[in-house]
Amino acid sequence: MSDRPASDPETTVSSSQEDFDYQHVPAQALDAVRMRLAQLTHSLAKLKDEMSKAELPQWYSLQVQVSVILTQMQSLTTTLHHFEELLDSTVVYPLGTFPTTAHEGLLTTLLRKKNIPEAESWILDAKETAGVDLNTASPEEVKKCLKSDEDVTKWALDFLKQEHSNYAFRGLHTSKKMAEDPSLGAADEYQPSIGRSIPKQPFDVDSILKVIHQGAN
Amino acid sequence: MVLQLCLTSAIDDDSYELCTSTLCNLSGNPPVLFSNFTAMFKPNSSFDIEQTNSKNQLIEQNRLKLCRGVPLDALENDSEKRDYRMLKKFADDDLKGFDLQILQKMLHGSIDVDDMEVDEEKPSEQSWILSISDIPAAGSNRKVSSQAIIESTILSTGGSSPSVIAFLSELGYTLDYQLLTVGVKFNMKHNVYLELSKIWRVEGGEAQQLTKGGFLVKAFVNVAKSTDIKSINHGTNALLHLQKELSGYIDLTIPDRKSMDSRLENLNDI
Amino acid sequence: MSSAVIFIEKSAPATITDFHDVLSNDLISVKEKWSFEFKTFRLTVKNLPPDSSRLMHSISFSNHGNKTVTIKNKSAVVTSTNTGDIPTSLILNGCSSRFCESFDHLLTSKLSNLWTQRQSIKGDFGSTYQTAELTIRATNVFSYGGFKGLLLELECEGDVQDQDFEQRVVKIRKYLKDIGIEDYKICCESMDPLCKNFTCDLAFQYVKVLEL
Repeated sequence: MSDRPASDPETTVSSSQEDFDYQHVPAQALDAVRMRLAQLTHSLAKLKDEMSKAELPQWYSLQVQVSVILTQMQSLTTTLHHFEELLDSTVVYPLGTFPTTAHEGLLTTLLRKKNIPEAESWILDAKETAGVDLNTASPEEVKKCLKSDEDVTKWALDFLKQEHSNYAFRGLHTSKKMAEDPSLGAADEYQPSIGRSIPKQPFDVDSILKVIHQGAN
Repeated sequence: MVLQLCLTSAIDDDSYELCTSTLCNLSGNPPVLFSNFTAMFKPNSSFDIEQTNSKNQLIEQNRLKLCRGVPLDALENDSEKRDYRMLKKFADDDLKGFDLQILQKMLHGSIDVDDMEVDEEKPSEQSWILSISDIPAAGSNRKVSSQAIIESTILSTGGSSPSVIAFLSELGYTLDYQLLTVGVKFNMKHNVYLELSKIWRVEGGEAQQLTKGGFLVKAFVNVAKSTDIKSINHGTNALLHLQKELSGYIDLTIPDRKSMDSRLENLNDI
Repeated sequence: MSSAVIFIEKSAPATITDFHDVLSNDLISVKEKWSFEFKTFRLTVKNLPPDSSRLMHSISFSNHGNKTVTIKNKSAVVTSTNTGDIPTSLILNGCSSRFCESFDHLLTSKLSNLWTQRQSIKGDFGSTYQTAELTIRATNVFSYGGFKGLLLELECEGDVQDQDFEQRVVKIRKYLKDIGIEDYKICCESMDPLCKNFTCDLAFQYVKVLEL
């Protein structure tokens, strides 16, 4: 067999693939995107899984997860943006040796440019929830919407700051008392006694035990 | 064969008062004052003792512990003053008026024949606990020290040489050294006892405090049978729970097993 | 309290029945069954002075509060395996863990490099006879299954003059003579006349009559 390699169909296919110049395939860009997508899908699947359990996870655990997902999305969009030009200008086509009839399904999936119907409905759902119809809304209206969102966030932050300043979180007096008598908060009257009351080890326990059990000094 | 599970630590004299009230609150019980006298005996050194018994089993020479309570009246005769604060006055070698002769009388019995009213003594005043302890079990992943102790109760002694020391000398044992312990004991949860104690070595009519500057802290659980795995696990967990509860305040740790070895010569140390 | 122990080596397993018969006229009641175990230990140390004693004896009683007495030379200790016998002061003062074992066990395990058990003599399922004057415990004695003889323990409770007690013992000896027993060992001594200890003295009497 080895002396007639040309007659082997598999060898023929592989040799024709070897002929193809992969140098122009944007492997680095695709790999970077793939990596970030994999991370994101993993995190989303985990979150979905936890949300479907009978006992919901603690709020802080959810918050941490969401913030991780946001970071991953951020990272994905940055990556996509970075390779935007390259990926946009890349055209995908099957090689002539691809078994098109045998793997038609795979081929159509790989070459699909439209979103799958499921994803289409999610996008629609998100748009409806946002209350802005992107098809009819003018760019000004969209901007206005975003601005009002930012304003609410800013207001909430300011409110928190204000409330925080109304209370005294240190010392022994309330902020009201301190406002009446500014001298109260001047000195730090409260000194935790922890450091002083922890017993010291006056001797080595093992050496005492040794005298008890063996009489050795 | 009793299995004693324990963890140890130490505190300084200045922390004693705060520590006792802390433990008192933690246990929900007041501290119990206790005092005991320990005499350690070793096999008569003039004897040529075989390392093996008649069944050819290896038996290493081990010390015998003889222990008895010391009446608290002897330490502080004013019962009004007798509470845990009493221990604060024993910071040094000085035993503040405690008559060390009492200990010698316990061991040797009264030498004066007219004074020998053995029958009128209360049973507790003639009793001793005799015990032999093994070296604590080895193993690097142990969380608590576990020591097997075999214990026997001597209710009274008799004969024309009626002292306990005379009997032990007939048994082949001679006095090695003596210790006096005074301390407080707390009855913690789950059968855990916690002792804070001061220990003196008594020799030639003089006492030398081993625990100068502080107190020895020992938390322990006694398990009646060394084969009772369930109780051992239970006791271990109870001790570990206490260790966790006190961590950062009193750090209870596993003592070095070699320091709790009372064999005569550690010839075949494992 | 006074006591005496009699050991009749030249007897048959049925001698105890003869003794019961001869005692019948004095009997007030027949009381609980009792047993004892007598063990001899030998000091295995090689370099002892030739004249020193190597033997130690221990006697465990089912009566007398389940106590064990261990005797060597002029010294004796009374031990107990009964947890209830541990004085509370020893528990409160941290001397005892409440879990005690027999002294014999200590000897045969931890001290077996010094002491070896040589002999075991048992009296099982003995009878207790109560007369107006004495409590008499009688049992056949066996060693490793072989019959060794008849043992009688005479005990007198309460304060009785030594002379009175001796007379009561003489009466028993007369009964023994009536059933044709004259050759036996008897001991009513105490370890130290100045310092009596009932349990130790009783054990001492056992040793004196059973020691071979």
